[in-house]
Amino acid sequence: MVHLVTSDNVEFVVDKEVVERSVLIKNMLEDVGETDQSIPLANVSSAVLRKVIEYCEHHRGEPLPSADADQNQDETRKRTTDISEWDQKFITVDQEMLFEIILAANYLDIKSLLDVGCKTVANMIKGKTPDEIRRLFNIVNDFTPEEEAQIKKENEWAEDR
Amino acid sequence: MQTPHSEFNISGSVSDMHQCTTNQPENNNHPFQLARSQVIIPVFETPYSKFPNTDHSTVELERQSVVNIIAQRQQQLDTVLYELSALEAAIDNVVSIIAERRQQLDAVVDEISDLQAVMDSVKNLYQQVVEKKEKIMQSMNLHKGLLSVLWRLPTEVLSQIFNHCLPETKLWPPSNLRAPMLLTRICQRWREVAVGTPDLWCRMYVQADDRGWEQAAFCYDLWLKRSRGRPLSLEFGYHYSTKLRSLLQPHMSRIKFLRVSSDYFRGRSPQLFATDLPALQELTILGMIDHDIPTIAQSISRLPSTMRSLKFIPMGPFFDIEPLPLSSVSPVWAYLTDVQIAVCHPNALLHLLQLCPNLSSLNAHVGFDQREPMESFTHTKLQSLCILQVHDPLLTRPLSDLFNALSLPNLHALEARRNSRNASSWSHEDVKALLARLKWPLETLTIGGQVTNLTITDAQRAEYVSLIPSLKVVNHGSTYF
Repeated sequence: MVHLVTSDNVEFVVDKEVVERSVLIKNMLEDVGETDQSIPLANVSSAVLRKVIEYCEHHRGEPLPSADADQNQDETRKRTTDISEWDQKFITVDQEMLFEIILAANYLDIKSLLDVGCKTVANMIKGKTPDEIRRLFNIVNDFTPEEEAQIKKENEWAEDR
Repeated sequence: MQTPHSEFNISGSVSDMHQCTTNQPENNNHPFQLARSQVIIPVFETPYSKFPNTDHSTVELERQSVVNIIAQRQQQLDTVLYELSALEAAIDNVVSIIAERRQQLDAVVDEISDLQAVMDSVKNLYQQVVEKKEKIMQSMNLHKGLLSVLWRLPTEVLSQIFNHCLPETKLWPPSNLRAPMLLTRICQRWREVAVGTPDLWCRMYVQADDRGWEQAAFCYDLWLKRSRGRPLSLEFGYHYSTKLRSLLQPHMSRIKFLRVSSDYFRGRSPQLFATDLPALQELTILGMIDHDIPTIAQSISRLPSTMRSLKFIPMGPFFDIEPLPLSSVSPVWAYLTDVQIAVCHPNALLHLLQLCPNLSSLNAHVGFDQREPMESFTHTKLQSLCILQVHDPLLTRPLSDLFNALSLPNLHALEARRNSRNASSWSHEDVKALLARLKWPLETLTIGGQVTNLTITDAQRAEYVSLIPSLKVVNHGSTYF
C-alpha cells in the first residue's frame, strides 16, 4: 500500500497497483523502493485526489498507454469522441473540478485520464460560437482593436463556411 | 279646451339635477331623460279668434266668455314662466357641473401627465439598474474567471485540448466556425496557444478557384506558415487551380497524407506523384472509374518509397494489377502496409499479397470467377484481413477456396462479408474447417453480410471457440461494408 498526502493534509492509503497508473508516482516508487513514508502531493487537493483514485481503481490492470501514443496525432484525433460510458459518467463534474482533474492528471502523469479530461473540454467547445465559448468558460474578450482587425482579415475568406 | 303640459314635472326634475348627474342613472328624472323630453304646444284657437278687432265684451260664445279665456291663459302663462325659470336654473346648474367636471378632468389629465413623467423616470432608473446588474455580473464573472483553473492549465495541456477540437477524420476547408480558426477568436491567450500549435494547422481541404483568390491565398498561406514545416494532411477539392498548385508547390514535400478525387487524373499531369510528393505516406483516391485505371496505375508506380497506405474509396472498380509483368510493377507496392482495393483477376488477391510482402492490413473487395485450384501462398506480415465478396452472380468462387490456398501465420483479425445472397455461401462447416486448419493465432473472427447461410448460433459460436479458445467471434448479421 502507498500513503499519499494531499495539499489539504489528508492522507490516502492506496493499493500500489492502483496508484502506479500515475507515471510520476510509479517512477518515485521505483526510485525510492519499498517505503512506508507518505508521498506528499502538494498540487492536489483531497477532493480531486479522491476522484483520481476512483478513476485509477476502475482502470486498474489495464495496459498503460505507450510513450509514443501521444506522438501519433492522427490516432489521437480519431479517438476524440471516443470516451467510454463509465469515463463519461465519471467526468460529468462541475467545470472547476473538471479542470482540477485535468491539472492533477497532467501533474501525476496519468495520460488516459488527461486524455479523457481534454476530450471532454474539447467536446464542450465544439459547435459553439466565440461568444458562447466565452460565456461557458468566463473568458473576457481582451483583443485590442488592432487584433480584432487582424482576426477579421484572417477570417474573411473562411467566414461561415 | 285643454292646455297641455310637458310630459314631465320639469321643476321637480331640475331640483334633482345635481344628484342625477352624479350617481343615479336609473332615476326617471335623470337630466339625460329630461333632455329627451318634449314640450307639446296646445291649440290656442277659440271661437273668438275668427273675429278679431270686434267688441266681444258682452258676447259669450259656446258658453265661454273672453274673460274666462284670458284668465285661463294667464294661468298657463304663469306655469310656463315658472317652467322657464326652472329650466334656466337647470341650465345654469348643468353648466356649473360641466365646469366642475372640466376642472376635475383637467386635474386628472395633469395628474396623468405627471404620472407619465414619473413612469418614464422609473423606467429609466430600471434600465440603469439593469445595466448596473449586468456590469456587476460581468465584473463578478471576470473575477471568478481569474480564479478559474482554466488559466492554470499549462500551454501544452491547452494545446492538447485544442487538438481534440479538430474534426476527427474528415478534412474540411478553413472555416471560422471550426477549430483551429475558431480557437483564435476567443481571447489573447487562446489565440497565442492556437497559433503556436503547428499540429492544428496541418490538416485541410484545399479548394479555390479564381473567385476571391487573393483572400483564399492569404488564408491558405497563413495556415501553411502556422504549420511550421510539419507533415501535411491534405485533400484536393474539385477546384484545384494552377494558382493553388503554385501556392502549395513549396510545401509539396511535406505532404504525408493526401486524399484526391480521381478527377484530378483526368487531363492533368500525373507527374505530381513522380517528383512532388517525396514524403507521401498515405494516398486515398476517391471515385475512380474504369477509364481512370491506366493513368492511376501509372501514377501509383511513381510514388515514393515512403508510401505505406493506399486506398480506393469506394472500393471499385476492380483494379486489375496482374496483367502488368512483375518487372514493370513499381517497388512502391513492396512498401505498403495498408491497402484497400478491389480485385477480380484470377489469383489477383494472391498476386497482390506477393507484391506487398510488408502488408499488415488488407481490405479487399473481391470477385472470383474461376474454379481451378488456386496456388498456395504464405504471407508472414498480414495481421488484419477484411474480405467483401461482391454482388455479381458471375463471380462466385467460394471464399473457402481462397482460405484453403492462403497461409497467414500472423493474422489476428479476419473479417469476411458478402453483399449478395447470389454469391456462393461460406457454410458453417467451411468456417469450422478453416479454424481447424489455422496454425496462426487468430484473435477475432467477424462474419457478416450473409457470408454464411445462417446467422451464427450460440452453439456454432461455441464450436468455433472450442477450436480456438481465445477467439472472439463477432456476427455482423446482414451488415455490409
